[in-house]
Amino acid sequence: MLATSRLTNLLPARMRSQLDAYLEALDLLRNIRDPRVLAALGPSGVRGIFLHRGKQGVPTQMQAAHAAHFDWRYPSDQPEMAELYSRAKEGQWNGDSLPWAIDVDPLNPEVPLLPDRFLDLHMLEDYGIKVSEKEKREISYAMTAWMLSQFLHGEQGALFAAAQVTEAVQFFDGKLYGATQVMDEGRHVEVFNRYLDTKLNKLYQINDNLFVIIDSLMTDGRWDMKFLGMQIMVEGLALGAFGTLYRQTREPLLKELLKMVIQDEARHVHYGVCALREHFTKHISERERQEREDWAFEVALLMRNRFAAYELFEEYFEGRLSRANWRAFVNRTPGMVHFRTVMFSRLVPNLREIGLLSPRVMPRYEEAGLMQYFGGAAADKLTAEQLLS
Amino acid sequence: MSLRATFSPLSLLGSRLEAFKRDLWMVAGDVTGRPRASFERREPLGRHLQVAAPPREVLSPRTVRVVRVVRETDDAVTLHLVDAEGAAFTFLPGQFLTLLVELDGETLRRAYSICSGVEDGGGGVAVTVKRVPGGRVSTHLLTQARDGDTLRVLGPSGSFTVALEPARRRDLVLLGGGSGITPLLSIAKSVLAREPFSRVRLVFGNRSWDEVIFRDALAELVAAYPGRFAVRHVLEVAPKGWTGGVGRLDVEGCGAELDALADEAPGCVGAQANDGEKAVEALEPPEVFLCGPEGMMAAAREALTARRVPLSRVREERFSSPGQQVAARGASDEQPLKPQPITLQGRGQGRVVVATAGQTVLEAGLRAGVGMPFSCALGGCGACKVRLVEGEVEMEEPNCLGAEERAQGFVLACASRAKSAITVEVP
Repeated sequence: MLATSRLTNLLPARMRSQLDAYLEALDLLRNIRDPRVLAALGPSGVRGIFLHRGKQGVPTQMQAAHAAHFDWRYPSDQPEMAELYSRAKEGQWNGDSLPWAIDVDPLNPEVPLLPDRFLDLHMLEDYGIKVSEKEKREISYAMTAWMLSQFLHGEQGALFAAAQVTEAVQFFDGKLYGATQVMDEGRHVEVFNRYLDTKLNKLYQINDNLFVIIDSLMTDGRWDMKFLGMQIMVEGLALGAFGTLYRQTREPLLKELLKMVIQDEARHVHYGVCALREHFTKHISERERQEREDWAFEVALLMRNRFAAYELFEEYFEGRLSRANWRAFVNRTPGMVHFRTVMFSRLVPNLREIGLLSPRVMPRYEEAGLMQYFGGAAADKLTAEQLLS
Repeated sequence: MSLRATFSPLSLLGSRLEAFKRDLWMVAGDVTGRPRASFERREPLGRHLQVAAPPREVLSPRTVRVVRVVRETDDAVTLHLVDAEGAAFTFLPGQFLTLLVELDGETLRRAYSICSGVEDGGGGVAVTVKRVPGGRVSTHLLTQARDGDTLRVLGPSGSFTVALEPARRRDLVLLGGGSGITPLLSIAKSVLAREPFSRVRLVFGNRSWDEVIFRDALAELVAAYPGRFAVRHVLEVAPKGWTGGVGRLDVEGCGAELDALADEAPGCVGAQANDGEKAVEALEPPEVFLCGPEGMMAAAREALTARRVPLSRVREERFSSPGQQVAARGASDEQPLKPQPITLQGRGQGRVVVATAGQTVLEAGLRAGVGMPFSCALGGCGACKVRLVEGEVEMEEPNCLGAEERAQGFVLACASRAKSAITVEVP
């Protein structure tokens, strides 16, 4: 290990970071135990991490292979989803009605987008790096723009995934509900895009790991995998991130925007839990269930460690700090710790509830330090008010 | 200005190859440690500017205050306006405001194009007014407008505009004459500021150097955007030592200018491009924006048609107001119009009003207190369209009515004058 680090230290900073990125990706692939999960995530991993398909500056084409499920009898089959549909109709709101007239100055210390402790740059002193007050404010602004950019990209994925799932799902009440979710996701794209373009004036490229997740579930032909990926994993990630930012930002427009978005998201995860609980417990074989259980675990890990804002690292710290140290720093910084806690305290109970956290896989969750969240309430027991508290 | 289609049966293979090249470029960048930009600067898009305008601004007047009057030439002033209540103006480049000017107890409406760019900041907006011979409103504004005056305005409205998209690689050709420069300046400024890969070339015709509006502003733009913005002045009467174009922008004049533009090196704008790939990409096929006196516009159209530029790539703003057209009309040998009774059905509830000689249907209706819908009052938006049930009107052409609407008997109240007793239905 020592020898490799001495060798790599001779390389230019940019290449050293790249080597770290490759090692990180290989490490990820090597740790996937189930070959079917590897087969499902592998090609997406290559497209995202090695080919940077999301960063090529041109639109990305992703082939979908699911079947549209028609039902000419229009059954009233899922009362819980019918109830959600009715709530979703009532809960529609207009993105134009947010207080867009509020002036946002991303560098104003009086109204910080993020509190200082979110990305605690003092901690970088451990690595011998001092950050000036001015730089601190800029990085805080960049971090907010980075997070919101990832939200926006994630919402674009959610928009298309919600549309695909609406086609493919076999529950008719689920299809009606799904239509409202497509509208919700469209509105989320609208408001995040508008906030970034008109207030922060900055858009970051999609993070490679987020691209991998989106690519994997968009190209998977099995609707329940899309569902699991989008409604449980990505929405869980989004709830964690939105909730963290909602609680910590002092910027009133962003706060209001996130509040409205979180109320929609609460329905989305709830829908995911009821549709998948039904499906995983009644409609698939044990072997298929196990594959999904493993896939969910891998994606949970991907989400735990890999959203390290490397784009920010490249912008501000490449050459001053190694990529591995940046990762260690980000993973320890209070905002990220909080984000992970919120995310997993939502995600893990949901996985339990839909039957993807059986004793078979518990040791791996234990090993990853995630079992502490096992006892929490799943999305169908949580209200929007609780999510906003 | 070659505008050939580029389809070939190999295009599918070609696009695969392109995708492969892009993949390879990314991998090579990683392996060689090429630095990369992970973000881009963003500005409000057309979508955001449009939704930001609350509907009331279009339908009912807002009050604005004149904060600065700039004399551009002997015959033109620019009025800088801010909302009296401090609300920001949102507009698309190329749009116009309709000013409601009170003169001798009468409210006169005139449309003036916005000359500010969407980047100019300050929350206000500027319009440029050029004196029209015999024009009451333009003369009034030119001689009387002062800082601190208040005016009522409608709009912004108009569809002579561009939807700004930072990723576009436009090749804009602006062809302007006289005060037709106003919306073109707004378009040029906005596109240059918001679309780092687009190029703008302006051909600007005037009688003499003294009459050229925005001489300095244009020169500043050229200096600010080297390689992305160029101006060619064409003067009918050139001063000594003049190196620009000489002559009128008639069919030959426009043709010669268009040919000269087409002969320039094909554009590849990379001034602010930060990644090597984008800088060498070619520009989109040229888009032409025309605004000037009707004679120049007709000539430009003819010259463009002769060069097979598809009309879908040509946009026009007719820069005339009812006042100008009445003046033009007086010169023709048509019968002078007489006062006529107008029956307003539908929303007009059957009221009969009398239009004075030359008054438009809209003016007559509003004068009598009928709540007729309207927006631009210049034949440009269609908000005031009414159905002619009986009688005959003279309608200013061209205007925005489509062939289908004409067939259904619609006319524009703001651009129509009764030639006989008429009945119209106000929707």
